[in-house]
Amino acid sequence: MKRVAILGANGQVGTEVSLRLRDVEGIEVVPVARNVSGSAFLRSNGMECRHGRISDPTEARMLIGDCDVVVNFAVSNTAIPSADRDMNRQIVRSMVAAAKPGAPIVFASTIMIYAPVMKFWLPDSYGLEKLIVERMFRRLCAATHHRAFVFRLGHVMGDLQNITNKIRSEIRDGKVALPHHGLRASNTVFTAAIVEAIVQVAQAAPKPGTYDLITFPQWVWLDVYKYYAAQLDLPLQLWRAAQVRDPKSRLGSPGALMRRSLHYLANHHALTERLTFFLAFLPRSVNQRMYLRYLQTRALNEINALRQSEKVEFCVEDWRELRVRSFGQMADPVTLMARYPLRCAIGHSRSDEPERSDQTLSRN
Amino acid sequence: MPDSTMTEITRFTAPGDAPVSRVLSVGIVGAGEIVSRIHLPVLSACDGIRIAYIADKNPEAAQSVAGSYKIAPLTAADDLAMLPQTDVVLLAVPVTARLPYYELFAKRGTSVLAEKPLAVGACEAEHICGLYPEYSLACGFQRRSYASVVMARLLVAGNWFGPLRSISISEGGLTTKTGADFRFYDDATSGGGGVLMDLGCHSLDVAIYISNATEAIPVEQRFVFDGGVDREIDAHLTLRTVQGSCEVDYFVTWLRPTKNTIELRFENCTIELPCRPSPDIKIHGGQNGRDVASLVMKHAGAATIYQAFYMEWMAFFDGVRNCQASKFNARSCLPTIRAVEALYKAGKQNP
Repeated sequence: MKRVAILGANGQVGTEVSLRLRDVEGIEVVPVARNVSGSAFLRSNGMECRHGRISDPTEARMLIGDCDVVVNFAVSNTAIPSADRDMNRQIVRSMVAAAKPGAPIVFASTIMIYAPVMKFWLPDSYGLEKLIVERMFRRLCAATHHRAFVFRLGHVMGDLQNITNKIRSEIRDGKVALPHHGLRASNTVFTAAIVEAIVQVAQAAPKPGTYDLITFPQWVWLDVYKYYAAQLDLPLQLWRAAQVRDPKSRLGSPGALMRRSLHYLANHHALTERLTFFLAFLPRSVNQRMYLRYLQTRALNEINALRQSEKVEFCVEDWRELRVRSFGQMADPVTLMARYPLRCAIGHSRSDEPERSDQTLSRN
Repeated sequence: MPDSTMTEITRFTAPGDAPVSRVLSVGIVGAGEIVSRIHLPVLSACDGIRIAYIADKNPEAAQSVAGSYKIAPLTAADDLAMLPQTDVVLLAVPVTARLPYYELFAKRGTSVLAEKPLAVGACEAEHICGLYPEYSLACGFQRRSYASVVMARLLVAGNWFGPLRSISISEGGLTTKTGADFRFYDDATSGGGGVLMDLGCHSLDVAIYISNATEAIPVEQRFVFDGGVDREIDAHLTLRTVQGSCEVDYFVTWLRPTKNTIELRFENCTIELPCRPSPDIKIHGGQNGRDVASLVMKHAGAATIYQAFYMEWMAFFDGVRNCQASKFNARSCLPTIRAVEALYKAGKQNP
């Protein structure tokens, strides 16, 4: 039996991974959370949790010192960059120092390191921070003879993930618009694939290294939406994202200045009234043209306001497709999600009662 | 009430005494998350006030928060009398530590806006309310300023859709990420923890406020306790209103996803308010309830959290200046405080 510690088990990904991992034969999951408030959901679903601060070296030894594999999903995210930086580094230092000698350690990183939002490589602060901590993690593991695995996670899909809830809700509402007709790689990964990778680390001793945990071969967004539409037993209705014409958008065109002026005038009645006096000195044809332009601008403004209220926007970001350094051979997401089912109570109403025998939670 | 307190209360301004636009000095007691992330950004945007100090028993916390806003930090020592005199105080320390502060500020004639909960129980809350004139003590149920809540109260009071038949509250979520150590959440004795006290009391207060109820009586309830801390409550309450009674289905949880809505049921339609701040409410009508219309009430109330706190503060400051109770006055919160206590009492007897 391999004991696998999940740090940050109360986070979105940590929670679902812990729950999917618990029924795997030969694995004993040890979810670790900072406090009992965080672990309440896991405990209400029958999982025993450990509580403490992994950033504290003494507590860390108590929390993970007896575990055969350590997986770190813990991340400080207080919105105070310097505090987060110090804490995230401290978590890694403390975790590596406290882990059982020689035990493999998995550090959950992100594909934001590749800056998929940008056309060129310029990661955001989250990606850069993760990159720096990754390097520190590998260095510390090399010094302490731990096998270091870095998993760069894509958009994580799963029943407890916000992005999955958003996709389901868009499918239910029947308004799905996808960039490039949904045919662009989604850079997604399913929680079951993360579980499969952890199982392989625990049981198959793969080569340590840095891997992209993205579905391989990649699923395009249409595959992802079709998968969830099938789950919901609903048809997938694709819409074209509306391209609303904005009179401000073509500032360089010859008529732009005129349109902007008329737009301004259309919204400032007092000024329009006074200018009318001067218009009377201009030829009738100019008066006529200006009046028609004014009506045109006003109509366009009002119609655009209406369009704006009905505008369907893209449901997903139009990110660059990433080439994947895959983590060995893995089954497709459908197979993996079935292999590692999510056994927990996530009913949305009181009628969906959680499976528990009494009204108190264990705080072991 | 002791005679000395009676005497001291006369130090509060009487109606008509106060210059309407005078600058109010504000002291802040407690330098926790709610102060640094919500109250201070809001107070810094308020006109007609001056923040005099931030005090906390932890000098580092006081220094850190006060330094960011260039305000004088103070250590709240055992001798509370060392705190400088101000017109107004924000009291944001754990509820179990508040009573000496309430007594001190009442004696000084300082108006207090207290973070919720006002007190550990209804008896103590009533005692504290008795120390202050109505305009001078407020409790932080800021959801009363949400535009959707303002509109809902208006349409219930005006009988737009006929009498209010029932209310259904569903709030919470699968709260897994706590974002900090938050150890006080886990300590039932600190009075800060529990989904009812921390989150659910807000929606209960909204229901009481919208219906203008004077009392909320628990009829049945199911609690999920976790080491003494409540994580989920499914209850049925009866609200006593001037028009009669109104049933409330009440569900708050930190253990699963919920709709996060408050539904007001009338004979021919249902009004749906989101629990978050919003200028819209939805009206479900027709035979199947699927016909939906939206009412938007711009500028009538808060559409964001900061707006909500801003409106709460401005209403309180106006009340202090004009000696008139705002809608956040602590006495108006007593039905909510009694309902929370009654629910806990019933829940602990019969979880």
